[in-house]
Amino acid sequence: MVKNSLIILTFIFAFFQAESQSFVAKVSQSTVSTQGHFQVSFQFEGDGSGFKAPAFDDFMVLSGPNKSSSMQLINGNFSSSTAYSYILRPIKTGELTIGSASITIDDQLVKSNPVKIKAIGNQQSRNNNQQQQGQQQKNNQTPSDDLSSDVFMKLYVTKKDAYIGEQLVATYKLYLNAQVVRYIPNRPAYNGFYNQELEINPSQEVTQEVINGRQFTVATMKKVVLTPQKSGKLEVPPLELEMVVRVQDNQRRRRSLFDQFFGGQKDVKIEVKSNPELINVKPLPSANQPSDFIGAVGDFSLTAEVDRDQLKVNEAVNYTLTLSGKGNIDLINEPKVNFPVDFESYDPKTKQNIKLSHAGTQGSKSYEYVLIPRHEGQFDLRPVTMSYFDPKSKTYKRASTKALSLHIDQGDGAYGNGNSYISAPKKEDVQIIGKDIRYIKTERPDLKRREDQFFRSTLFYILAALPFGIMGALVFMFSFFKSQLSDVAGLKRKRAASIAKKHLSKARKMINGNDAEFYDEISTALFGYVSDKLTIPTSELNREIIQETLHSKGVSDSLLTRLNKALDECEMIRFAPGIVRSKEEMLTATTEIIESLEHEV
Amino acid sequence: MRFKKTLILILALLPWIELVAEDEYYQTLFEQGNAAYKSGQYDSARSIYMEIAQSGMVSSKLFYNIGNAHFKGGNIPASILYYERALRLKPNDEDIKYNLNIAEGFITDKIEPIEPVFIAKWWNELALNFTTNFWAIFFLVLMLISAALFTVFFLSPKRRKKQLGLIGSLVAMIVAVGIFLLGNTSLNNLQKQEAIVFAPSVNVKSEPGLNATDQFVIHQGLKVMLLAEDGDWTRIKLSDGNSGWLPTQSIEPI
Repeated sequence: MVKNSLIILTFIFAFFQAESQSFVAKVSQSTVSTQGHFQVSFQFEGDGSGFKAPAFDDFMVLSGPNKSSSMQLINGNFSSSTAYSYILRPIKTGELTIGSASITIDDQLVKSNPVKIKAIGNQQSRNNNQQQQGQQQKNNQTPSDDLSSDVFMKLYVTKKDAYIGEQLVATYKLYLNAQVVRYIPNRPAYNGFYNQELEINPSQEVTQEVINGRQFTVATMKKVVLTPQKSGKLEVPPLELEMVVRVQDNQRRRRSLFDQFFGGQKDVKIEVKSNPELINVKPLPSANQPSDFIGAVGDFSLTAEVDRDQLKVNEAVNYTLTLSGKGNIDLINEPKVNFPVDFESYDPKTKQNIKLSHAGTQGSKSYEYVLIPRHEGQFDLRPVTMSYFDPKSKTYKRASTKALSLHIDQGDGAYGNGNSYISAPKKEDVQIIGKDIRYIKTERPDLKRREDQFFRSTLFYILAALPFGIMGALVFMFSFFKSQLSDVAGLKRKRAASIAKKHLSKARKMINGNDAEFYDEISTALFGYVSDKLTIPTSELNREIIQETLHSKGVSDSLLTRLNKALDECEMIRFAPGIVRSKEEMLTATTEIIESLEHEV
Repeated sequence: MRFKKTLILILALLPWIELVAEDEYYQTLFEQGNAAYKSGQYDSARSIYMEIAQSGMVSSKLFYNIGNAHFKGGNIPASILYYERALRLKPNDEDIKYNLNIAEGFITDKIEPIEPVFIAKWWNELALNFTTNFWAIFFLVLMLISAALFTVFFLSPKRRKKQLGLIGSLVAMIVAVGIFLLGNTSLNNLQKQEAIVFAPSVNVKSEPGLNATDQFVIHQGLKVMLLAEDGDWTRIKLSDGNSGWLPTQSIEPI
């Protein structure tokens, strides 16, 4: 009880002070929980400039400074009052002091009174609030244009931590305990965010809320879906409203019964500003980032379908790829699709069905491709994949379509026949896309040393000439042998002396033997020699022929005489041995005769 | 004494053994290159093949594979160069022709060659259908036949044989002359002074020197005939008959 009365006393004191001072600091409640909030307003009369707020070291500024001013003309007296108000929340318990604010009024620096606030834990606050409510009611007579406790704005965000691309929703709510005449919102600049404003009508988004025992009309002024585009601490800026509210004019009500009856009201122009919020934006994990990741963050799925799976060459088929899900879908490019080379494909027709809701964007995007197969056969359309980051599980996931297969039949007629509207693919396209080089050769490479060409080399010419050389040699040799073979007589002639010598040497061995055999041998040597020399067969040979032929060959008479003598002796020895020369002499004479004949013939 | 003989035998066989070993080595390298190509490592496949080629070994298959590796590595002019080299060694290979055609599809310049007369085209095709060595050996065989028949003419005592020998020898000689000319065409094709343009874009000048008038522009991958050389400049001729001078460094002879 004692405490309560103390608080009341403080308030009364404050009230009186307010009367005496031109710059007054006031709080909406003197006891506040660390979970609750209260309003402090610095109010002054007349023109002031250079308002300087105290340092709210022990408090968190939820809103403010909100400037409100009111003007009144009472009985010809013009008066204006201005108030700067803040909505604060204590950040620690205990006796807290709000320092002095300062302002220059009429060239005078005026300071406000410091105010003490008792900050308590969560539990106690409710009772205190109720007590304060009663006090507030009592103090309601205070002629105040300070509306910061009646009109304030708060910013709510759905997340304070987000990944790049992860959507969050910022909601600006206006708390009202007054009648709004009109308002003009500013357009906050969302730096670092891709923002999409949800279309809302503030007059329809109205709820009733009781805060600290007071009934508030809560209007959602603005709702923005924000997609962070970069990492770091990003600020969601406050929304500022310039508004005119209609409030009960307490002073007038007191003065006149008339006013009281009709309800004395006045319009007050105020500026309301919400608190900003800091969002901690984390970059997407770079580890294990899939190659087909195209920046999608959220939860997505891919489907693909064709309007028919059996068609003919040069007919068209629609291939629809649908990407649906929740997240930054409208920031995602189309997933990469690879069609078989034999298909002509055209740029897809894109359809979007994306809804912006309180939970962010969701919906679907579909890409419709027209494909024209150029060849028959069975074709597989490979699954299209797209990876996305799922912020809930903090991992990359992959969405994939099913594989489709198309059966293309042989078209009617030849290629392009009757289908003149289909342009034939350019020759270059076919070369570049449709063809590939043939595979390498893997059999033995039969490597050879780099060498000079054999053709027209010296060796080549030699080999070319060789057969003719051989031929020439053959022909020459053949004809030589032929002539040799035909000249038997010449051969005999040449060999005559040597044969004769053989006979003579045979005779020499018989020199001590039988006379008849010895002289036979001499005779054979001489006859054989002459026969060979003159090419007359031995059978046709006689002494006369020998005489004539040798004579005609120019053999000297003395030699002929010696020859005749030797031949005579050979014949005579058979009948009259002893009249002839000795064997020795005979052998020498015969040798001499043959040698002489060899010379002369 | 016996030891000495064995040593001499080994020394005599050594070059042959070395050759066989070298052959095996390059064969292994070639297979390694093929394996690298198969697994898609075209760059390493190319450098393995090039190791064989730089040792002075030639083979149409080797050059073809180098061309393929260059093509897969995106070097179109080099692939054309090696396909052309492969084609010189084996002018009638379908695969080489096919891949060369594809590689040529990537080059900028499309030049319509002057069509040779029918008979010349036919002659060239016939000549290029076989290797130069084939023609050379064919010629030598014909010379041998001709000489043999002439010998028969000379030596045979029978009149009929003599006649047949003379006629056969003359016919063989005439055919041999034809074969020689075909071989000549084939050799000329092999030793044709041609080059592939390697510089991305070259201004062909009217005379050697940077200040000369630009006549036309050709691009990488084009095959040109080489006509003359003057310092750092080479006179070239295109298959459509245009000719001019370009820097020697911008081309690579086949």
